Amino acid sequence: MKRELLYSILIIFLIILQLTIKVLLPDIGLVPDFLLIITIISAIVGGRKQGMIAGFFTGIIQDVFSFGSFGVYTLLKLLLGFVFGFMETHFFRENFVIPPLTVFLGTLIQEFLVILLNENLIFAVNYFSVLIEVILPLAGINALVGFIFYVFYYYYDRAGGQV
Amino acid sequence: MPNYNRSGVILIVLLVLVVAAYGIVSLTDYNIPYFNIVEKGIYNLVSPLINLTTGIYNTISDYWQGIFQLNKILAENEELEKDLAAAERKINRLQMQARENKRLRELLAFKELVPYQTMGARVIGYAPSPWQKKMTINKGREHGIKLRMPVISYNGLLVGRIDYVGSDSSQIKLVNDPGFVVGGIIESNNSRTIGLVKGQLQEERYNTFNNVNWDAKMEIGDLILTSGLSDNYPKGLPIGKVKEVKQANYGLSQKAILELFFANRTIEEVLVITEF
Repeated sequence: MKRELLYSILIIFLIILQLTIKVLLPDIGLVPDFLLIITIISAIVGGRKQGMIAGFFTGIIQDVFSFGSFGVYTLLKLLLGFVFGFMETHFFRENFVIPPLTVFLGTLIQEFLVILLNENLIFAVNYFSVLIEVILPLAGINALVGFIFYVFYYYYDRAGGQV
Repeated sequence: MPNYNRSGVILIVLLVLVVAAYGIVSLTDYNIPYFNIVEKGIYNLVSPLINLTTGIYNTISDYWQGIFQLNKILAENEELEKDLAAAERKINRLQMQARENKRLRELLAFKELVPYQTMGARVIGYAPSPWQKKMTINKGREHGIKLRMPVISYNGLLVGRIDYVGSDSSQIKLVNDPGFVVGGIIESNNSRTIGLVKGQLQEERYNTFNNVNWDAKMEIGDLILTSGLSDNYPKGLPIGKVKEVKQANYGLSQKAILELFFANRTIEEVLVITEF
């Protein structure tokens, strides 16, 4: 129960942070996708079920505040939570390279699929420039933030807590 | 072979079914009241939290500035008092001109230009996606905000339109969102040509001005205003100025790249046009 409560508080905090960070720091260019980061880290440390639940809730929030209705982010985050959940039993917790790499890969997959599933974007974007100007920098920022999150998680977990 | 337990499988199936239903609903634009209730519920649950967060931040920031920038504020206040006095003189002159204008309009039997009603709102959040240009403001249905109301900045520049209305907050689709379209008109001595202003993703400070007649006079630096031809926007709101003119449709029409006046990074407050 304590675990679920902590987890819910963390997700709510990250949602608020993602929505308001541009108001708090107006000069920030790209905003890290905290919701994707928490989904992927939840999946690789907690497995498919935890990844899917995290992906489902963070995706809904992202959809409601981006597109005004349920849709693409709910589907994608749920699927990413499920797919990356398979890694739970395949990596050592001491390996600090895998989580940021997974977040990097997850960002690439998510952003390309968002473009392909959006009628306003699919034929309107220059894929190469979008890759260079938006997707790769965003994946890099997400990977860096993902690394920081994972380090916190790892030492919290080792100290006896559990997220 | 991964191990599956029964509750896990049921959960996965349920989630996939719910998401598939959401997908079908959003693809077909079919309105199911239950989904609307959930959607609005989530929006109305989260938006007060972001309103509270930015409210606390603004209060702290204001106090901080008040304490550490006292000299600057005093100098600014003195400057503003001078500006106010100049503005008052300008208002008196304009009132005189307005009276004269009214008299002349009556003489010519012209329809009087009705000024629009506005409501101020504070920006409390942004869309959590790099592909959407949207802002959340702290005024919603309870304050009289309705869907598709135009939104301007304090200096009268077009910012966007209301795209989603919650009970005490709303979302604005910004003028540089890829899905934003508005009728525009060239404001110059040589031309009053109309076209369509559309948002684009590549460069957020620029929009395109499309479907302009092939022989229309359009030059770099021309001002583009809202045309007012539809009922959705009042006439004459500044959108941007022409940065580049190109041929389109193999020379059958022209298009321009517009440099937007509005820059969403610096905006903190907006005005919603409630009546025009």
